[in-house]
Amino acid sequence: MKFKRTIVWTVVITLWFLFTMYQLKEGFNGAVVIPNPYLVIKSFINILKNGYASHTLLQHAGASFGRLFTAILIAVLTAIPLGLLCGYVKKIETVVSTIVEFIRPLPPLAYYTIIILATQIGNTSKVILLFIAAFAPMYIACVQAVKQVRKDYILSSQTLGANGIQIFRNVVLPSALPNIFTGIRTAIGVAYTTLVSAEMVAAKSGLGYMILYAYNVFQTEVVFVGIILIGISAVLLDDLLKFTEKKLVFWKGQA
Amino acid sequence: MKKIIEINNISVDYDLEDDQEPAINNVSLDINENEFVCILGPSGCGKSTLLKAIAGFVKPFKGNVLMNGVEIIGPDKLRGVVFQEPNLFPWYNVFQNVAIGPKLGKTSKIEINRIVDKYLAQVELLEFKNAKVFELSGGQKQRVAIARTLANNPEVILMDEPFGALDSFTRQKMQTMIRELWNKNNATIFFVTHDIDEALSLATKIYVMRSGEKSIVMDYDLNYTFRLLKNPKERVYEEKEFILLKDEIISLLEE
Ligand SMILES: Nc1ncnc2c1ncn2[C@@H]1O[C@H](COP(=O)(O)OP(=O)(O)O)[C@@H](O)[C@H]1O
Ligand SMILES: [Mg+2]
Repeated sequence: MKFKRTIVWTVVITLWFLFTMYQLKEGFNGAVVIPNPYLVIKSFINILKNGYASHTLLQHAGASFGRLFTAILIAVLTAIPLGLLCGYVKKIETVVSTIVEFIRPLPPLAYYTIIILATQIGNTSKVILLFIAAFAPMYIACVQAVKQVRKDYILSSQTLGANGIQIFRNVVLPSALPNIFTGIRTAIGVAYTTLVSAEMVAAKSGLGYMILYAYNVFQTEVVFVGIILIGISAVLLDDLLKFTEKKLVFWKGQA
Repeated sequence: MKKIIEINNISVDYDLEDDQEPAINNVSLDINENEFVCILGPSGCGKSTLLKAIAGFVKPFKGNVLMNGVEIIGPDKLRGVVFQEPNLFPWYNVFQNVAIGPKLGKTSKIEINRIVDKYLAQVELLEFKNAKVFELSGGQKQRVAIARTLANNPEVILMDEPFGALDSFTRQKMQTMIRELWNKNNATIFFVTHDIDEALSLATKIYVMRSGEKSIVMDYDLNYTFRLLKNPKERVYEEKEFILLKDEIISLLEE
């Protein structure tokens, strides 16, 4: 797995290098559409040293990850309990799912304006946007998780004397763990894709903001730095979750 | 002999709306303390349905099932169940699986340890105490499932073709083991099987169920199990009486 991924990346970077090696063609308004790797690395080191758009790189990254993690944490704390509850109680599920199913396919920018009007342009609006994006995948995964619990596990625990709460603790929650992890991973993915949108409007820092700023001044190499940083952090975060899942849900695929 | 379970003329239908015949029809029988009752019949005749009605997993639309004179309305810890497919919880190890019942009953730690050790020793799996359940063989899993049920000390143990998925060699060993466990623990067992030899060699009482009637058509009192208890190697299978009884049951089931 790791080995294969290394090969893919080696090939991609080599191709990138080859295609941009003799790059003379100038893009739109003199900017290079695809800067070569050397340019991107140079730009990265420069930003690392001197910052960009009146913030250090660490401040940009910190702002973005701060928003992301706050939003994901709030989503974990709300969507998972609510999803698990809705898996149990059909009536509540009907109410919540109807709303979630409506909001889920909406493009975030469509309701972003409303959020900004309600909360002003500070950090809160961005966190809320990311939270909404992260909520649905976690919620849906948890509802499904409860519905998919093996009936004979529940019956078994009842014959062993378990009451409602004990069934939840001993059977439903552990059964749901694999789905919960999938939900969290999907949610993080969706939140990431919303990050740039969230930092598009009235932001002063963040990796998304940095990308948009660079785009406005035609510094595509900075755009690339931003994209690569977001991409790498997403892959690493997903790896961390996969690793945690493997440790925590050690029985997955075994029984 | 104390009567534990009393089944009064029950009929069970999984879906009263459809045109299908009920899964079982007008079944009556008693289970007395320390009996080893075998329900014998071909697949589809309603054996599992009868067991589920006793366990409290399904409700008869006619008649009732009483336990110690009280109507059974759902699963509880007075009736332990061993399923055909072992359904140990994969997120718990062997010890934790066997400990579920005592733990739910708020037994002290020392007492839980004592109980688990006792029953794991009885099923000869003490050295697998800390093993993950998905590392065990089919027969070992079923032994843990039996220990889990015994550890909860139910008044009657319901077993639905517990050895049906095992190879014939393991099956034989398990039959000897369950007979000894029944005797040692003064247990009362209700055992479903489609294997005539298994029923004849284990039961103190056999009820024969037929597909046509979806009901019990004959019952036999037996003592082979006591003789095999004294000497598991005794060749009761070769006795004339045994063979004749077997033939009688076969012709009964062929009708
Ligand atoms: N969950 C179920 N839903 C609907 N019909 C069922 C269900 N379980 C069993 N049946 C039907 O009830 C009848 C008896 O089945 P079962 O009790 O499983 O028989 P056995 O255990 O003797 O093989 C069969 O006709 C079967 O198709
Ligand atoms: Mg069956």
